[in-house]
Amino acid sequence: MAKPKTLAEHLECHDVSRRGFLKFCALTTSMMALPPAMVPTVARALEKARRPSVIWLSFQECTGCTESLTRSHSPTIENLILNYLSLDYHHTLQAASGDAAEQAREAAMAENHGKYLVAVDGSIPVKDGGVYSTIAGISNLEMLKHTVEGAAAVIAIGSCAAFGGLPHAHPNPTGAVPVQDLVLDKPVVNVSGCPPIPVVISGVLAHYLTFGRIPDLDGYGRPRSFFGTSIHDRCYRRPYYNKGLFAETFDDEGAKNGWCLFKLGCKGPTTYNACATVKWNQGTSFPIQAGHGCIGCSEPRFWDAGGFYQPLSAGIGGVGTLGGVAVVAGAAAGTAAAAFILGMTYRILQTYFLGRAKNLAEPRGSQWLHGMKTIWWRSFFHPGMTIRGYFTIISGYTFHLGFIITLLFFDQHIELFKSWTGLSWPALPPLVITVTAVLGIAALVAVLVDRFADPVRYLLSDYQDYLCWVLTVLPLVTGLLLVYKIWLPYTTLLVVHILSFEMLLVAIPFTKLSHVFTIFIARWYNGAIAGYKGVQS
Amino acid sequence: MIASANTDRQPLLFNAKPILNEIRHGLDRLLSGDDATVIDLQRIPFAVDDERYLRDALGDGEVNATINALGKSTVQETGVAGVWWVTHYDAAGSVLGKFIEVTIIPEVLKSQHQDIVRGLGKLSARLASDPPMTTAEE
Ligand code: SF4
Ligand code: SF4
Repeated sequence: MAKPKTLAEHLECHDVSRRGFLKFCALTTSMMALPPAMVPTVARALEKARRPSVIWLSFQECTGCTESLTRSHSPTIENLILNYLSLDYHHTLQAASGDAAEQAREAAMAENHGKYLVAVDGSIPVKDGGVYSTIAGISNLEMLKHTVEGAAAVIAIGSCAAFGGLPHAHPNPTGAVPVQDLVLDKPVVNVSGCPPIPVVISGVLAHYLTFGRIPDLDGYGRPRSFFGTSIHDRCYRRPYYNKGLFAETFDDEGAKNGWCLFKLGCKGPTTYNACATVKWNQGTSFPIQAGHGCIGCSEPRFWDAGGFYQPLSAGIGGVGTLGGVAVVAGAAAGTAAAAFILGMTYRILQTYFLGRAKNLAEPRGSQWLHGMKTIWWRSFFHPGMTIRGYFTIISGYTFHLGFIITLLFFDQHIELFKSWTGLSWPALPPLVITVTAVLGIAALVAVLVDRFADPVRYLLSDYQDYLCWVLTVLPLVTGLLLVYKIWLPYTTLLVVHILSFEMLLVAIPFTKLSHVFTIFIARWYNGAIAGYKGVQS
Repeated sequence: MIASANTDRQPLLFNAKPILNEIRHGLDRLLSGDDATVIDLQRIPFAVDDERYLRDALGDGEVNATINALGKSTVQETGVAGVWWVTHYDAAGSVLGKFIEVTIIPEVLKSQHQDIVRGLGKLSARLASDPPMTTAEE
């Protein structure tokens, strides 16, 4: 019989009915984490799909990832996918050995040049010329470089291949690095996890098989369909977290009631993976359901990210254990807050001790009441303001409100305030916050352009105005990049975002930004004078 | 119905009620002649009691079918007409996929065009290869 060409023909040869094929498509769609409405599209694509050649390289690894895949919980379906892929080289699974095996690899590469997939499990040791791991006398480094030459894409399977994993953990004696550090000119898909969820491995293979291309990836090169949400976002214990109900030990009432495991070290909030939905062992359960926190196995450097039982909040505001730099940034938050409070106190006392000339006139009204009224009503628009022109008013309100709403009503900020002060209030939906942040940035850009365009304003500006502008816009921009995981890795962005806000905090008391407080004093003072005279302010 | 192992505690629910509402909307759409709704239960985070709660709320219906194609599948109508449980198993009996379909009849239950064509071919071949029949009159 001729070698079957498309998957549909392959299934027909195995006497699989159309109904069976439909079922296969429904399950494959589910496996790729696509919505069921996509089944017809998947079916059409799979009918035409051609058999891709896969070369599987196992480097510095424990075989757990291969084990995970071959024990994956959809044997019928995955076997079909696996049988259908032409697995031309896998030195753990193949029958051939020695030279014959290596020849099979070379032959597959030559035959499918530019089209084959390379799957890698394990990290690659590069220290001392890569002597720490060799296959058939070839170092892993050399084998990887040679094998990926004609590859269409590379799939790094497991946290070792994706991020270096255990071999990369401190002190990394073999100089282990992940695939993405070595393969720079081919698409690399990172299927992280220690081990990765089997369905995720076959889901990525199925995606390539179905659509002939790799799935959409996040900032760490992981398929968004599986790594797009955190464990915490999908955790069924989340309602307890939101209510502040935590297990304090593994056998207390809270643990028995199934409360949140955050205080027992759960890394769910900083871990992106599909465990909370796909689950493990035929979809039976997952660590959190079994009463143990997530250890964050699908995140870079999770071995070095602090103790598994240490709560994330051991650092400041839930960022402490993200990595060394994050700890520093978190700790700096304390220093920045102290600088802010001390600086502001100093400025306010300074203003107070400037003193006030004694008013010899008869008071005609209350100073206090009028002062307070002025603080309040000057926050709103009144016709006298139009002298400044509508542009200044509109852009001014927009960036002030944009900044304040984003700062105070974004749920993660509220959680942070809550962890510091115990106070919390309702958050606005993320989309609204995105809009306020974007409007804030747009208005800030507009006022900057206006400042350059207006000769008077331009001449009146000094370096401090520009410094204040940069310090104000940075937290908004970095926050947006962080939330949408754009450009830099999440941890780096988190650190930059925290630092940007800390810089703003430190700068407020000593620059024009101190108006965040002094404006109320000044307004009160104006109001008080007017009140004393019995006139409108 | 599976009895709760620990009846003295509150059921632990997460997504059961949102799904029931999705089903309600699916039924509205079905009645107004729109497309079927399929919910992939393996892509929705469930707490321990969610599935039991769903099964209780939907109850058992009149149709129970077993399919043998690429492993076993069961298709059960729930007590709410138009709402079906579709479960796919592997050879070892492990669940591969769990879906709720809001539809008049789930697609997998219908005979498929290609299969009918193949079946017709098989039947015709069978008739052609059989020796001529002796009829009662002869
Ligand atoms: S901290 Fe862990 S247990 Fe708690 S809600 Fe988040 S992921 Fe679930
Ligand atoms: S629950 Fe966390 S530690 Fe466990 S497998 Fe999933 S991502 Fe890894």
